[in-house]
Amino acid sequence: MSDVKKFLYVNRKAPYGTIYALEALEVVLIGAAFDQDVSLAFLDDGVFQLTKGQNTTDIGVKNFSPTFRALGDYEVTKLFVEQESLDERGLTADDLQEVTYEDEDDDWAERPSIRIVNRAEMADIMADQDVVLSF
Amino acid sequence: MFFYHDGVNVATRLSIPPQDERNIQQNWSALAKDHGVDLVVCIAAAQRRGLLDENEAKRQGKDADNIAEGFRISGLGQLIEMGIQTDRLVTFGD
Repeated sequence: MSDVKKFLYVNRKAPYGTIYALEALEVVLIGAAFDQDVSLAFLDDGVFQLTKGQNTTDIGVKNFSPTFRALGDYEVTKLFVEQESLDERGLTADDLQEVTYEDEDDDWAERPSIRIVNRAEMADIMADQDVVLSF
Repeated sequence: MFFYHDGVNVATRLSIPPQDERNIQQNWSALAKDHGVDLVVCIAAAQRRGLLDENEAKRQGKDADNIAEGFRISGLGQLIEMGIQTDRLVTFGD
């Protein structure tokens, strides 16, 4: 397993109502053990997965949004969010929870994991991958 | 071949589609038998949807298993491993 490949996990669906988002996160967590170059993309309703203040008490399902904040510990530090998808849903960066990682190349300084990119940049990110898994 | 999300439902031997419809499970089982295709089903997704092999049924104290011939249950690591080892990874469905 000497070659490091670029893995992109594309999240396009709302966090609840279907199991896609949770099962996608399960793949990311398992995949983190394989020492690959991992990125996550959030577009379409997938941007809702990162919104802050989620409360699932009344729908009887697990609120898995805090797990995103733990991704930095697994060296998953690139969460790309598409600007247009936010705009189309009346969301801004302020509606998203804070996700950070400690940058080992910069004295473990805390850095934001969420990077907001436009649609054209997202296309470039996708084109740059070896493996794209879409959920 | 890796089955994930609702795709794991393909692997139950208890589905009974009408006779004039295709039987996807039987088609996959035949493909595995005739061409040695490894059909791997995600264990977490399978358990969530009530799909068990004999070992898991025993381990979980369930009174039956339902996985079809040619399929085997394994972990998500297999999917990642496939992504690393193959030159191309193709997804069908969603």
